[in-house]
Amino acid sequence: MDYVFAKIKGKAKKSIFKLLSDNSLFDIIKVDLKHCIPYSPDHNLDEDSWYKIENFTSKDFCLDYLKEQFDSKDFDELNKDQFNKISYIFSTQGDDFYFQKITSSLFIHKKMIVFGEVAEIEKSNNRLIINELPDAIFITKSNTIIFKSLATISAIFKGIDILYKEATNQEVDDFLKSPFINIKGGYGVDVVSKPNRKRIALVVNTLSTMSDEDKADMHNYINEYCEDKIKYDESSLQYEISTDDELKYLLYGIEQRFYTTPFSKEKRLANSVIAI
Amino acid sequence: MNRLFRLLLTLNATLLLVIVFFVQNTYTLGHFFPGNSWFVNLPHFVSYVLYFAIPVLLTGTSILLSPLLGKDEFKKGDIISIEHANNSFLPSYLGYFFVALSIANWESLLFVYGVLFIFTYKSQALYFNPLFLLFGFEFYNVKTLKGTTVFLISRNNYRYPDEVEIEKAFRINNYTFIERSK
Repeated sequence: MDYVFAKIKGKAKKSIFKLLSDNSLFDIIKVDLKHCIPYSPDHNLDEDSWYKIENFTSKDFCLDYLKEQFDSKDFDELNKDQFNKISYIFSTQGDDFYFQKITSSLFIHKKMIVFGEVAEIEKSNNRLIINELPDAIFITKSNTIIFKSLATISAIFKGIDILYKEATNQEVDDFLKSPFINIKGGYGVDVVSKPNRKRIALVVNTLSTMSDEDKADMHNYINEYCEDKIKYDESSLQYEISTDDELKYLLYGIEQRFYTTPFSKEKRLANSVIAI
Repeated sequence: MNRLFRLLLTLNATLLLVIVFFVQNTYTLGHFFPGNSWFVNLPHFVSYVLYFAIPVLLTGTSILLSPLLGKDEFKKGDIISIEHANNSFLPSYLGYFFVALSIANWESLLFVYGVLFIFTYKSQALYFNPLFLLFGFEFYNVKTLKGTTVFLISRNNYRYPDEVEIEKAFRINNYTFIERSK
């Protein structure tokens, strides 16, 4: 039997309640897990694809009830007065769990005209919109979770945002002090944008695994593609960085995102990558 | 809906107290309707049977209404222990009877019944009433894999945990489930 459960905000001892039984919320989504993309903050997802995290129950951010045999009878029914405290709902469909995060915008508090036999006005105050697609699906059989946006599900799986690594102030500061960077025009830690912080977190890793030879070659490579974007001082071997955009191109360069197409010889930038 | 259903079950479970009070004080139908000669001439015994029929019918109604409740499934292996509980509620029921027998007047009845009704409603455990036995139901305490103990009302004779496989059990409250089909 399929059920719908709700997670309630707050620090009450019980936070998961049964909402509905013998009902499911979403159409069954058939996904070939082989074609899902292992989560990487580096990748921009295509519209029709999903990220996956395999071996999910062994992860720290996995929910307890996914780790054990799930039994609806272990959960109480939700009281009406807790309705507006729902933080997310999940629907057990077959063996799988379909999650949807609930935000206040999903509650309808509006007057509506309902067309039945005759039209009538309806003042609904306790209605919840169910999205067409769930935010995440836990596939029990393969112990894998699939999702579209890590930011959305980080409210459901506490701690999962560890995967969406953003550099700390200290890391950003250390990076901006790298010998090949020359900061100009008041640019600094406080103005580095969120996406760039994410890229810095990745770049720090890349740099640490790069040999000195490669690093030297890297500057030629970046300069080749970014001549008009970033000013490179060949005598001091430093890039002048004064805007977020310049920093972005430098970070893309370190990640080797620039390439030339083999036949048409067009210079390009890959704003999303996937290892093949 | 749920609340109404629970009120009905509480009523079924407690109504016997009122009937015992009527029997104790020989309040027959003829006593309530002295003008009706047919009622007055009726043997006392018939009045009592008619009284008794009321909670029986209401219990039957509540069984018929139970599909409107939330549903749960008992899968094989969901429960780890089962215990027959038909006799466990009889002592508390006998308690009701003795209380009813010693009630002296309407005022006390109203008060005692009121208190009993509230506690039965709130206790969430005493909903089950012996009248279910007349409909062929048995009572079980079952324990889930995780350790939750729930009360199961069923027409089946279960002896060991693996036998309990129910496609649709209806949730009377969070601790009480009823299986209708045999």
